[in-house]
Amino acid sequence: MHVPSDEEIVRRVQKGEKESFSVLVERYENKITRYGRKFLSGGADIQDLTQEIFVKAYVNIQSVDTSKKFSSWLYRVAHNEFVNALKKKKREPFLFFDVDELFSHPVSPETADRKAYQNELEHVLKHCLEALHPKYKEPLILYYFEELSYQEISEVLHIPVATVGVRLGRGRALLKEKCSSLHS
Amino acid sequence: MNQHSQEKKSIKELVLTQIKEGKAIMRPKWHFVFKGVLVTLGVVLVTLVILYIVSFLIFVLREAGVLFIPAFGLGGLGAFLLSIPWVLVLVAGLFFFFLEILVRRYSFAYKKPLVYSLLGIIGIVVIGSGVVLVTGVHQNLSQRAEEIGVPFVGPLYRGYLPEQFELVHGGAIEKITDEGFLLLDRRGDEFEIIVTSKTMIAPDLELLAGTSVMVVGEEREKVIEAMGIRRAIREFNPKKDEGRFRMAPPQKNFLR
Repeated sequence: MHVPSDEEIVRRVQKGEKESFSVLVERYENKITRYGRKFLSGGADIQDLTQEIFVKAYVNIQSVDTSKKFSSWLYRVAHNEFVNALKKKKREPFLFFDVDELFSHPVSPETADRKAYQNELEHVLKHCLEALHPKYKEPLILYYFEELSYQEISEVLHIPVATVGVRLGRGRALLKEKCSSLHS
Repeated sequence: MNQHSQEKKSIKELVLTQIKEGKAIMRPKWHFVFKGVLVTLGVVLVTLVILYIVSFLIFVLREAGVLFIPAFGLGGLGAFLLSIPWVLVLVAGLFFFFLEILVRRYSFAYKKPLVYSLLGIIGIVVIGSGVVLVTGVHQNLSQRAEEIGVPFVGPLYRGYLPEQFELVHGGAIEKITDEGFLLLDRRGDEFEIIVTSKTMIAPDLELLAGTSVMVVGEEREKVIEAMGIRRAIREFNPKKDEGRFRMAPPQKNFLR
């Protein structure tokens, strides 16, 4: 039986099949909730935020380019919503220009380092993520928990692919540093 | 009870309820097309404004002779920095920042390091400003602003006339004196120019009555101790009040 892709469903919704949107909600409800829970580390009402993300996704679904991955677009909507929630929570301004984004960086191969770090980091991440700056925390969540590629993270966060690599690298180092200080 | 059942509802149900009840309404396609067109128009408009400001800045500095005064050494460089209209530089900088924000919305910009888009914008501004200067737009607007007035930008041209630059003075040598010469500017104001051993004079310049020159130096009660003197490109005649003059571009070994 043919399982329609996200993009096919989006096209249906765009043509007026409103009910098809429920399939997309079903597919991504848990993922988005998990992403929010890890990124915001509690405090905010993740259920409400997730609901708001899907409502916004529906309202703006005509802007989706179905030649590209819908999941990246949805994660981008979620990212914006979570960042806004974080700003409200911490009143911490997000910098528009970031030193990491300024220059080009070599990109390390993602498959090799994903396997090497995955098991070790998943355990560490759960306990120490909270102490990390959102700038480093978010790429780690998207890469290790949501299993997004560098390219997809670049689309979600609107940063160069090379910067994704830099942030992941720094994030991992910071995470270990924070974790060892927390344990000691 | 009702609240309890509400909590039990899944996100899917809640979202679908909002859609069915018409609380969540899908925006039409044209809304996004229109938004895209607006952003593109914004990029074009802001780019044009930056091109206008930067080329205008170069134009007024060139017209006043300020562009060439760094050739008078450290003192010239200091005078150059003091003469730059920093308000215009700041305004251009703000528009530049705004343009970068607009451009970063496009995937071709955010997928590349920031420095690429910054360099791209700088490149466009440099080339575009050069083109604007070559077309003589500012020359025409400046003349029209003085003669008949130009709406909106007229005050800008009148506000940055060559004589507005306090450290650079253009005019014709009226009379040679024991200490230097008397300079008559285009408004008919007379200045006493003091030439000392420290004054740098362009080698192609002979200080004779009637010669059009640019003098760099601070004015105190109509007396200017010249830091540097060079020939103005355009002949200057206070009686005819041609109005426009500028300095010759730097030449090799022009300083004594």
